[in-house]
Amino acid sequence: MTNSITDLAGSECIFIIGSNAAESHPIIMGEIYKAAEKGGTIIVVDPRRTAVAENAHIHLSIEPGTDIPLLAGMMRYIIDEGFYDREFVDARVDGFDDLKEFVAEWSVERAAEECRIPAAVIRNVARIYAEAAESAIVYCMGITQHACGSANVTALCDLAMLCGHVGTEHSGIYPLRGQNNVQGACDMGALPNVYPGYQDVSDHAIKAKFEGAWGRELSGSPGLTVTEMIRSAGREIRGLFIMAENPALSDPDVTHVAQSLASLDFLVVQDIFMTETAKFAHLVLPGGSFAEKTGTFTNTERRFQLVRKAVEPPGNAKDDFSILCLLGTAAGLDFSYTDPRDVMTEIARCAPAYGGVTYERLERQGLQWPCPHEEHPGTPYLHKGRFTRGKGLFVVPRHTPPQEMPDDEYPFYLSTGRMFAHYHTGTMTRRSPFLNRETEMAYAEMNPLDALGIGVGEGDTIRISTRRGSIIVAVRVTCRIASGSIFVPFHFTEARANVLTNPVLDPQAKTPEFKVCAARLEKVIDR
Amino acid sequence: MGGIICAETVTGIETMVEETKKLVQKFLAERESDGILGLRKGDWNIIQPHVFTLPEELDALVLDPKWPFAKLAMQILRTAPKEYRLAVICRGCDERAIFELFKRNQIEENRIQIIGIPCSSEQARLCLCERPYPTKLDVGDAVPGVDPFEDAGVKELLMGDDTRRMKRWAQVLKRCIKCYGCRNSCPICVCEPCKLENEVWVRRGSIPTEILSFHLIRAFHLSDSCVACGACQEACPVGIPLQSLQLSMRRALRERYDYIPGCDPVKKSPILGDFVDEPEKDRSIPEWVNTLRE
Amino acid sequence: MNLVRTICPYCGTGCGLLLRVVDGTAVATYPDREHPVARGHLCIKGWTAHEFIHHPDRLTSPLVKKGDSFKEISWDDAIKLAMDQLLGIAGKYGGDAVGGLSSAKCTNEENYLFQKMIRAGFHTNNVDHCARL
Ligand code: SF4
Ligand code: SF4
Ligand code: SF4
Repeated sequence: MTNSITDLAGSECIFIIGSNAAESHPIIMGEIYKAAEKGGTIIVVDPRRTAVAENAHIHLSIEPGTDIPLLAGMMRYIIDEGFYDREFVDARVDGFDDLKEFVAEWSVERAAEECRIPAAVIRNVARIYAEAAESAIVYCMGITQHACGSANVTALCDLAMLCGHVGTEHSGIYPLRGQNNVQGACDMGALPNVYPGYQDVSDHAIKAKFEGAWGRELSGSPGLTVTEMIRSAGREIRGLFIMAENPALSDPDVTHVAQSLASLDFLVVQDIFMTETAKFAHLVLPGGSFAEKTGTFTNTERRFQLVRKAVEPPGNAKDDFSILCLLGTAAGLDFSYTDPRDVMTEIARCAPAYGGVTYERLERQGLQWPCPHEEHPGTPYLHKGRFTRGKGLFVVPRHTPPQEMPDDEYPFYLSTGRMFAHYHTGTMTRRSPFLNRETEMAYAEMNPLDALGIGVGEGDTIRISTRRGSIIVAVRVTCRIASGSIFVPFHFTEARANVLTNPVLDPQAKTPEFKVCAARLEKVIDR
Repeated sequence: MGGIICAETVTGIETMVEETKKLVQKFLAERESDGILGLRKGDWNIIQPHVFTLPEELDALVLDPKWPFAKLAMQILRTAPKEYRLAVICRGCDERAIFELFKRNQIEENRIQIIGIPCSSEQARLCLCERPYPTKLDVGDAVPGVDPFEDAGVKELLMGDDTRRMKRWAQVLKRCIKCYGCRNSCPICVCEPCKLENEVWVRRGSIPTEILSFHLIRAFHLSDSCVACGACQEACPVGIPLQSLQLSMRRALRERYDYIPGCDPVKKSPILGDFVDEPEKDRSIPEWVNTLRE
Repeated sequence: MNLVRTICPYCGTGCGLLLRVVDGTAVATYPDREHPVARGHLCIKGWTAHEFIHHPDRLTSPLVKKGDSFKEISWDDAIKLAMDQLLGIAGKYGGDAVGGLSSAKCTNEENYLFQKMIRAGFHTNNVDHCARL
């Protein structure tokens, strides 16, 4: 996230694309409403009429997977009409000619046809976004979980730079992070290609620095991503250690994931519950929940925040810090930390961006990185005055349509996502009585016309099949979803939406295409 | 000390804090209660509710910001031993809420003591509070209340005919993300089980909530007991002006029945059980409702 | 009364919570009015964050798979087993035969230690988490 959450309240235009913030990030939605109260315009792009769309000034219900055509059409119009920020583009961004060449192919009319949105609406939205004094872009998994997810993000960055809507307090780009500490996990180098602080593993000088700090020789070649590790389990990957993740439910095409996990020579799972993944383990280690540990989480606005221990772990369970210290020591490493605080000191020492982070400074309100030294106040918004690479760069987003489109055999668009009361694989929320009460059963949202078409009503059961497998769920009839599409939340182990999903990945980010695949529906006759 | 309504706060906030500390000290010394619920400014200047039990903790006692205590006090007493007694540093709204909880048998009167403090006129303006003081002030001086109907935002919400009002309310209520924060924070929302959790009334598993069930059930249930503490509104992440939903009913109660919820620990709501004072049938819809129409 | 100021375990907004602890049990969650982002607001998940903590399904002992079921073992044996096996695999097939999935639910410190353990302990960069999912 380039800016801070509360900055949204001051934006004149908020362009929300592929995010149902009202259900997934409700508190951020509150800031967006504040902007609306002050007269700001809320524009929502989403194939579904989500709760966010319901409360927007303008809702563009585009065809699934046509984000790039829409954005290209908007940029074309903005450039043609001269609505872009010439000064900003000249002074701060390279590659404008490439962008111009790219959008030359995308007339507003062509975009309109692809997205099935009237050209006039696209023009209107483009003008509002470009002309507002400060416009912000908010996006989430609806942008990234596509085979062209990285290109989608690129297109959004291009749009923002084109209009000069970065580097000021109320503009910027807001990717909303799903999990509480995804930001932190990335920051801390839980990624195959970088050490903590996004330092490249294949850079010799950096590698040497970490070898010095950690006292071990390190590998200079980038590792495998989650999906790659799981795919090569049993072959290249023989032993796997999974800490508090549940790929058996969260990864695409879980039937294959299960086979992979079962074929490992040794699988260790550390978690707080016996998850679907833990069932495959040879060894299960009982970890600690957030309430049982001291440490830090980093939220989506790059804010380090203190997590404080409130209760003891149950029975013989241990907090994950203690377990890791035992494991590291057993692996022959010097893991003689007495307190998570010692770890933070080490992090600050080896990752310059977090150099000024200490627990004392986090106590009151946390601290937003970059924060290179102890006197640095933290960074509420990025790219003020200059970009990380000096000048920004327009990168041409290549449009790849969804890899699996509806056809005669599988005529429906299927997308997966979240609902407001549950969270990810439901490990925690489904054990929370109040949340589980809201929705105890797996369901699929479908349009009344489609429901009529296959002869089902609210609460009836249907079988959803794709080329990967099938699940049985209850029907929820709603006009929020367009005819021809269905939506299935993925929180439910008894009807795993990820049995259905297509495991194709975005070539750069390796994010699976959860938002579009083709499905077939049948009514299930009650026994 | 205090109790007389004057134009501005005479006692400065520092003096008030010092006086409150002295009072709390006395409570502790004389063992009038086992703990005192108030606000503590702890390490790193972090402010949060705290039950004071030791005199040496009192250095950290503060009175601001406003932090509703009535429901927390009730919850503390529930998990404490039977003989545990708690004193609570109460603003006007906290006291009113506690009085309503007495009437609902949610708090035993002999287990709670009230240390009454007034709000500043600035706070009263923020809360649109008609009575920014408890019935008995232990420190400081009261400031006059604010007429919420004079507020531009309230006027905007309540102005116009039914259709316009409904439209305006629907527009804001549609943002509801069903966090249950309003219910969780409201000191009067104590029903077990809560109707808002009943599937007959409130559809499960989807947002926004149905306006006519979720929000109006809450409004009806609190119509003669809302103490205008504003906790619901403060807890609402999407900025719905929930407190204003109750305003018309509060005014009706006051004008028709001379009844203000929470202003007396014993007097029951006129529309609850005691129908003696009921006005004639044709007058039960107050006329002033029509004066709000354009 | 013990109110512990901490952070919501669910989404990336990172709202501040106050957990009320009575006799070692988290019994209620309140919003933190001093939190810079949430400012006293929570969503339905935040308000109920205490509910799963003491759930009877919580794992309470290290477990080793014996046939189709799990048996409890001691921490000493569990740690030894984990490292014997994983280091054994690394010795036999090379470090790149070992992988680690860290967690977006765990703290920064834990993520740091995890990737350090995988990278330094096994000589591989096969470490990732579910950012993309
Ligand atoms: S409805 Fe709102 S203002 Fe009224 S008592 Fe409940 S929380 Fe206070
Ligand atoms: S606090 Fe606001 S958002 Fe939450 S349930 Fe109440 S009205 Fe809805
Ligand atoms: S309370 Fe809700 S919005 Fe806030 S961090 Fe938790 S899950 Fe996210």
